[in-house]
Amino acid sequence: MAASMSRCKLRILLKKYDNRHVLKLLSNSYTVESGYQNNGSSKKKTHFGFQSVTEEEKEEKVYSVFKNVADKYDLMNDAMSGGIHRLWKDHFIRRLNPKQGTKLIDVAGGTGDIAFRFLKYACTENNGNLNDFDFTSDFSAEDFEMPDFESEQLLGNQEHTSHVTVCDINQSMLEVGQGRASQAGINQGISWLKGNAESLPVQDNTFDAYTIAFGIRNCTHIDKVVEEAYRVLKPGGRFMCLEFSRVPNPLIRRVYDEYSFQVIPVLGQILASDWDSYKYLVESIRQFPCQEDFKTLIQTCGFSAVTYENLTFGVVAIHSGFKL
Amino acid sequence: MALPLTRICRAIIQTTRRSTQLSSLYCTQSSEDRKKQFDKSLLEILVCPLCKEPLRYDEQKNELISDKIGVAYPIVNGIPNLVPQDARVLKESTGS
Repeated sequence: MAASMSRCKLRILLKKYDNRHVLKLLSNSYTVESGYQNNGSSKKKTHFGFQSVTEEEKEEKVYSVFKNVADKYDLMNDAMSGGIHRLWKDHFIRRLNPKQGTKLIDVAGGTGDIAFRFLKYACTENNGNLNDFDFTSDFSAEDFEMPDFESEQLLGNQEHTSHVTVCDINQSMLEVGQGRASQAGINQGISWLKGNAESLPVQDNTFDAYTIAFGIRNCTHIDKVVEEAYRVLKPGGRFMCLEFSRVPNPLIRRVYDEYSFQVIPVLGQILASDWDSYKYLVESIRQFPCQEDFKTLIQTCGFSAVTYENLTFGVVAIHSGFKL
Repeated sequence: MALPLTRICRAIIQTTRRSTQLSSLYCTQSSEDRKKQFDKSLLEILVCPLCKEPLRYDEQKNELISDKIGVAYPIVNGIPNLVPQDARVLKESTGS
C-alpha cells in the first residue's frame, strides 16, 4: 500500500514539475522503479575537472571537494593567489557599488568573503566614494583578519538596511562563514541558506543584486544557474559573476598553466592534505567557457547590457548584466 | 625574483600558524553556536525549490514544510536546508 502510494505521488510530482531533483528526493524515501530513474538527465555525461562523469556524480563529487576544503578554504585562497584574490573581490564589490538598502543574494558564497565586503561597503558613510573607501589591499600574514564592523551601522529600519542572503549548497562552507560572522560580531543584515543555485528556494523578483564569485564553474548546469539568477532579480536588478577565465596572451597563459598544474596541487597537499581537491579546482577552470562565450550565455538567459572586465591578464573576469 | 618568493613562503608559514589558531577558535565557536536559531525573516522570501510555493515553519520539528507537495526541509544549526534531495517526504496520513 505504501509503495503504491509513493509511486502514485511520484507520478504526480513528475508530471507537474518534471524535475530530476524530484527523482532523487523520492528515491531517498522509497524504492523507485528503474524506469523512472532512466529519464536521461542524471545519466548524461559532464566534466569533473578533466574527468568524464555523470551529472549526478558531479554534484556529489563537487560537494565532497568543498566539504574537504571548507576548513582551509580561506587559507588556501591566500596561498594560491598570494593574496590577490582579496584585491579581485574588493574590485568586484567596487564595481557592484551597492547603495544602502540593497538586498543582495550571494550564491555559492559559503565562507562569506563577498557578503562581508558588501555589508561593509553598503553600510559605511563613504558609500559611493571609491577613492576614500578603505579596503585592506596589502597581503600580509599579520593581516589575516575579518573586516571590522560597528554593529550600529547594521541596525535600523529594515527597509533601508542593506541585507545579504548567502546561499551555498555546502553546509560546511556555510558554517565556516557563520563562524567568521560571529567572530566579526556581525549578527544582523546577513542570512544563511543552504540551496542549489540551479533551483533557488526564493520567490521571483526578490533581490536588487545577485553575485556569484568563484562558484559558477562548479555548477553542473551553468545556464540554469543564470536563468535562476534572472528569475530572482527584481526588474532593473544586476547580475555579477567573478570567475576564473581564459588568459588571452599565450606566453602568460603558459606560465599560468605551469603554476596551476605544478604548484597549486602541491600547496593543496602541504597546507590542506588534499591534492585531489585542488587538482580538480585547477582543472575545472579550464573547462569553464571563455569570456565571450559566457557573455553570450548570459545574454541568452535574458540579461541586457552584458559586459565583462578582465583582471590580472584575464586570469579572472567580472561579468555583469541587468534584468531590464 | 627570489626575495618576493621568500616573503611569500614566510607569509604562508605564518598564515598557517595563525590559521590553525583561528581554526581551533572556530571549532569552539561552532560547537557553542550549535543551537543557532532559524532566522524567521527568511520566511518572507523563501519558497519550496520544487513548486516555488511558500513554506510553513514547524517550530517543534524545526523544519520548513511545503504543504503543496508534502515535503519537509530540515533546519541544521539554524541554516535552512532547501536542497531537494535532503528533504523528507511527509506521510500521506498526517499533515506534518
